[in-house]
Amino acid sequence: MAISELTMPSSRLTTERRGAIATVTLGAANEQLARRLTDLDDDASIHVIVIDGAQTTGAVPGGAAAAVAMLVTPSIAAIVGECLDERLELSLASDVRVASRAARFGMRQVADGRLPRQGGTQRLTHAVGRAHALRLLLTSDVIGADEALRIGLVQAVVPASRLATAVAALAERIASAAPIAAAYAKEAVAAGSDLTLAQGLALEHDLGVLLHSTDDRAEGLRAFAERRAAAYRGR
Amino acid sequence: MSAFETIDYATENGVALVTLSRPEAVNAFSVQMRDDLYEVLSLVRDDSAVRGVIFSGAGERGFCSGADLAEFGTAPSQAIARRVRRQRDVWALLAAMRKPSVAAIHGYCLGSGLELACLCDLRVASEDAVFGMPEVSLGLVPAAGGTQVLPRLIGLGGTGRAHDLLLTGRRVGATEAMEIGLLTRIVPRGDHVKAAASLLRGVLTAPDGALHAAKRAVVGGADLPLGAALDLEDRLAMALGGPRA
Repeated sequence: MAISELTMPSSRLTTERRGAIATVTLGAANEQLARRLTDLDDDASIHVIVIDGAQTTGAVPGGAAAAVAMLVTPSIAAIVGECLDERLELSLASDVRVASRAARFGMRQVADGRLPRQGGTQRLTHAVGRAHALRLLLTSDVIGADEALRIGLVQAVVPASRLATAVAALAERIASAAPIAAAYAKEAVAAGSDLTLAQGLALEHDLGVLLHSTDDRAEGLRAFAERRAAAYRGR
Repeated sequence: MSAFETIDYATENGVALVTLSRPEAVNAFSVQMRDDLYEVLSLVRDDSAVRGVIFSGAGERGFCSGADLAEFGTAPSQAIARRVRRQRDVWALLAAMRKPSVAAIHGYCLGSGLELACLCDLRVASEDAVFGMPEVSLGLVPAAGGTQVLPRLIGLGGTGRAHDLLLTGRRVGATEAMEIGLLTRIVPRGDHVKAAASLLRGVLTAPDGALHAAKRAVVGGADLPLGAALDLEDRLAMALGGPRA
C-alpha cells in the first residue's frame, strides 16, 4: 500500500517494544502507519505485533486495515471501548482479537448511506459467517463483547482491568514459538481460505518442506528431545 | 486379530473400528502407523461390507499425542520426504473417503491426532479430552491439514479461532472445543467409543447413496462458488432420483 493513501495529518503513533513483541498504539489518524508496520514486519527480532486500541482516538486512516492484513508477522488486536465501523474493520485485519468486557462492536456505515471501505463486508463475513455479517451490516446494531465472543468476532473477553495482562500473555505465547513456523502457519491459513482444499493442503505441505531448511526447525526438535525450552533465532 | 503393527482393525455390523495402538507412546503417529493407516483406509474404502468407520486410540492416556518427533529428520533428504508423502498420502485418502467417519476421542488429541480427527465427519469426545496444535511452538508447521481443515471447521471461514490455537499452541478442554465448533458431542469419560458407535448407527439408518451424495455436496461445494455448488447439489440430488418439482 502506498503511504500517500494515508492522507490524514500525523500525530500520535507510538511503538513500544518489549522483547519480541511490538505494541503499536494508534493515536489520531497517522500517515506513518503503513511505513511503521512494514518496518516492524521486516524486523526479524519482532515476533508479534499488537495493535492496541486502548489509546485510539479519531479516525482510522484509509488503508490501515490493508496494512495490518498484509503483515507477515502474527498480529493481535487489543480492543477496549467502542470498536465501531472503521475501527472494527481495522481489528478484523488482525489475526487474533482480544476484547475488554466493556467493548462494543458494530459496522454501521450503511445507516449513513455508505459502505465499509476497509474490507468490512469481506473480513466481517469471513469472521462470523454470512448471516451474522449481514445482520450487523444491514441493521447497524451495536453488540456487546459477550455476543461478539459467541459469534466468533473476538477470541477472548476479559475484564477491562485485565486486558493488558491477557494480551501480553497471548503475545508471549505466540512470541515463544518459532517465528518462521508461525509466519508460515499464518500464510497457509490466510492463503488457504482462498484456495480449494486440495490446493491448500499442497501449500501447507510445501511450506512444511521449505521449513526443513531452517535452523529453528532443527532447534525445536533438539529442544524437545532434550526437554528444554527452544532458543529460536528466526533462521 | 489385527494384521497391522500399530493399528487394531476390526469390523462389526458394517462398521470398521480403527484403533490407533501404540499406547506406550500415547499412540504417537509414526512412519509405521502412516503405512498401516494407508492400508487400513484403502481396506475401508474398498470393502463393500463396510459402510462407516470409527477411529479411536488404545490405552488410558489419549487418542493420539501427535507425530512421533523421534522420527523427525530421519528422511534421507527433503526431496525424498516430499515424494514419499505424496505417494502415501493417508490424509488425502481420508479427506476423499465417501463413507461416513467418526473420531472417538479421549485424553490427549494433539497435532496429527487433532488433524486426523478434523478430517473425520463427526467428532465425539469424552469429557477428559484435551486438544492442541503444538507444531509451531516446536518450530514446525502442521502438515496434515492443520492450517487448512481446522480453519474450515472452526473458523466460520475466518481465521481468528484457528490462529488462537495454531499460533499459541495452547491446549483446550472438551467444553471449549465444543464451544468453538470442534466437537459434535461430549460424553462421560470412557463412553466415547460407545457414543461414537451409537451416533454412527443413527447415521447409517440412511441409505449409502444419500450419505455419500450429502458428503460430496458439502465437501465439494465448499471449494466452489455458491452458484456452482448449488448446481452440484442439484446434480447429486437428480442422480439419487426421487420426486422433482
